[in-house]
Amino acid sequence: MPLAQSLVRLAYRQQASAGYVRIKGFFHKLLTDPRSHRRALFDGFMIMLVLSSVMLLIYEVRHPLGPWADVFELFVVCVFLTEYLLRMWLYNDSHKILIEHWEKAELMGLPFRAGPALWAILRRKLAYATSPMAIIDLLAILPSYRPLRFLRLFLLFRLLKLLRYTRSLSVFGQVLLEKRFELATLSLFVGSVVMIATVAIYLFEADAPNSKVQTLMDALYWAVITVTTVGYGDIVPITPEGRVVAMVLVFAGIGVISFATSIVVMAFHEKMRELRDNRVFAAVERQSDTTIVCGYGRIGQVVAARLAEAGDAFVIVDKSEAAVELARKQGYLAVAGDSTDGALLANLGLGRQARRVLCLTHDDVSNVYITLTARQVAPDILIISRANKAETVRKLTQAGATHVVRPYEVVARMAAEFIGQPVAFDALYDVVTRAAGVHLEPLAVHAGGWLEKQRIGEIDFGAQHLILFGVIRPRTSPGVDGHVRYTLGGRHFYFNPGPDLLLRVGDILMLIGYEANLSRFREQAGRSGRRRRNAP
Amino acid sequence: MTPRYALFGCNPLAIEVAWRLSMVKQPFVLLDRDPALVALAREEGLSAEHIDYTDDDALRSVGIGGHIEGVFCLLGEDSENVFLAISARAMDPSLRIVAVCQAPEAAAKLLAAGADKVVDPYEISGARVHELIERPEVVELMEQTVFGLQDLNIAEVTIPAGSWLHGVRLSQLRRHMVQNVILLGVVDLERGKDLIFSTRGIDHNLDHQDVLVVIGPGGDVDAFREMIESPSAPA
Repeated sequence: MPLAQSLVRLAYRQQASAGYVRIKGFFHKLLTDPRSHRRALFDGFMIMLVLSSVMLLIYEVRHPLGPWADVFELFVVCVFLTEYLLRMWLYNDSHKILIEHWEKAELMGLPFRAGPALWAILRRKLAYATSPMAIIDLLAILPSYRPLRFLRLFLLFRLLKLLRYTRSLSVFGQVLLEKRFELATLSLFVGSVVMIATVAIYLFEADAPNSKVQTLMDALYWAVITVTTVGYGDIVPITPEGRVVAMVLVFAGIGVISFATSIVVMAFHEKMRELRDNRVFAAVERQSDTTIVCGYGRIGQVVAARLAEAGDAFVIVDKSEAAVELARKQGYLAVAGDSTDGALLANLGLGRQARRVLCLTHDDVSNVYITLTARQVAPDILIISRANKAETVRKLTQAGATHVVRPYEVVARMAAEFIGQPVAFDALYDVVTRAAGVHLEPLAVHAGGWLEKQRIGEIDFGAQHLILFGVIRPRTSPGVDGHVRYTLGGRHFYFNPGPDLLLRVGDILMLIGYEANLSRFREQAGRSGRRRRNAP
Repeated sequence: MTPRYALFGCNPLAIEVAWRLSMVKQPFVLLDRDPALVALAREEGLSAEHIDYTDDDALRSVGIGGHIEGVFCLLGEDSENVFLAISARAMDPSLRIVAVCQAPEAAAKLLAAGADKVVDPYEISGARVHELIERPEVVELMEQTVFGLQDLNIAEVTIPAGSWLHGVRLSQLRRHMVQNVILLGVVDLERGKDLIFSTRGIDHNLDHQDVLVVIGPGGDVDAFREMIESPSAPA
């Protein structure tokens, strides 16, 4: 069967084609990927198109428009149609179904028949076409068919199409869907009340003189108007029995209204948090190099304030709603939730654009767990963790924390140092925290810079108003004798090295000085070696 | 050994401070109102006593106003620490008082109550976390050397009354500095009580009671101190 053969060959070619995958990926990002930036732009464009076309169609009802309106309508319909077809195409991979059928036939040793495979493909596409949003999409195309006037009604579907492009609106639909049990109960109740009232008012009023209730339809209309507490007053009961029915119905109506209101309000209240969280997730998605701050206690607050001041992107997670509320008041992105939940961290960009995770909760167990979760997902990110007990430090390091901060230790060290040598300690603290404008800053020696192959004695740090605190050198470089040396992780630290120490690429100078002097020196160091040596 | 420092509050923070002090061999005593906490500290092998810090006589009995040189107010409540700082300051104006605060607004109150230094544990820890993000090399360097257990110390040396440095210029002192130390800065009383970093490049006129802040290995710092304190200039 040559047709079946060529179909299968086509399917395999699609499977192997990088271009096909790329194009499909592009449209997936444009139309369906909720995290994509491109999709947000596309949605905005479509909303504009829908609104302008609807406005044009409404205007057209009473005012004849020129040929340009028709051209525009044609354009809109073309866009809608293309979108409809693209969405149908994106819904699944047809070639995979074909290949699956082919391989099954091969395996069983049966002859391959294209019929059932094509039918399976058609069934999948039909499944898409019958989904509610696809039906709305299709109906939104129809109003432009002029000869059938009643098709104008489908204009409403074009408005419904907006649901697709605005997440907040589609939530409304979700809320109603989630509360379908309550709403069904309510409708059943309303239905029976209305039915009883209709029958009752008809029985009492239909044969009364001067009564306006002539038909069962009148009775139903009156019952609905009354139960919803609208009460136009165009039909009123005149017999005492009819009035009793009215009184009972009014009370039932109040019950119905309050019940319905409470259902919707409750549903929205539950949904509100999710909505807000979704907004945070979307905002985080747009950031790059995010820091996830787990725990917004006092330490978390200090860190967040400093990050905000430095202009770094960050998002806060805390179990307590009150803490999250506080963070939101400061204008920070914050989500209420358990940060030990891997899915929540993934939504905040862990494993994607998140660069750092700070575990700052007051609970050591949580901190270890968050550290472990984060490290498993993202092996190369920076994790800083807080340990309240000394014995937790080792566990956190084992779990994968890059750095561990122990508040008690930090405070104890400060207090104990201060009591012995207050001036010296303040000086050091000022340098480390940059409080007094004097900084301790690292400066790397780059290949080709003028620092490379310079001796310390050849650089006049004093004239630059700088103090050379020392040089950090990777352990892989050969060691140098005759200088005071300290070990520093995998590196050596040469404190106050003598004038004959030769700088190499990979060394880091630790300099103390004012910001202006440091940046001038940094700029000098960035220049190329040759020019500097020739300079006077 | 007579304790020189009194640590109020037998909580984990105080025990941490106690451990730090015992590392530098400073005698201290832990004090608390809660006998259970005192017992707990004793179990850890620390010298602890049960006293009521609201009672001035009790404070006097542990040596405040006497042999105690410094007080650490490490109690859990800001109000308790304020009360303690006021009582201690009234008994000994020269006492060195360090206090921790829980709420940031308590810091000013503690200073007004007479504390010399207020440490906000959350502020400091938060700052440390941020430093680790921004400049990990600097924090690591400091943790491992100056704050850590390796032999690199920061020290302040006060020029004593009979020193040869009285009336000498800083540039002259530099010529005699053969020790492997870095002069971080000087408190020049002619210019105020604050430390002036050497990066300012001022050639200070040194007098007695001026303070020199240096960093270096223990032996070199000791040699430097000896040179400063000697009555005659080195050869």
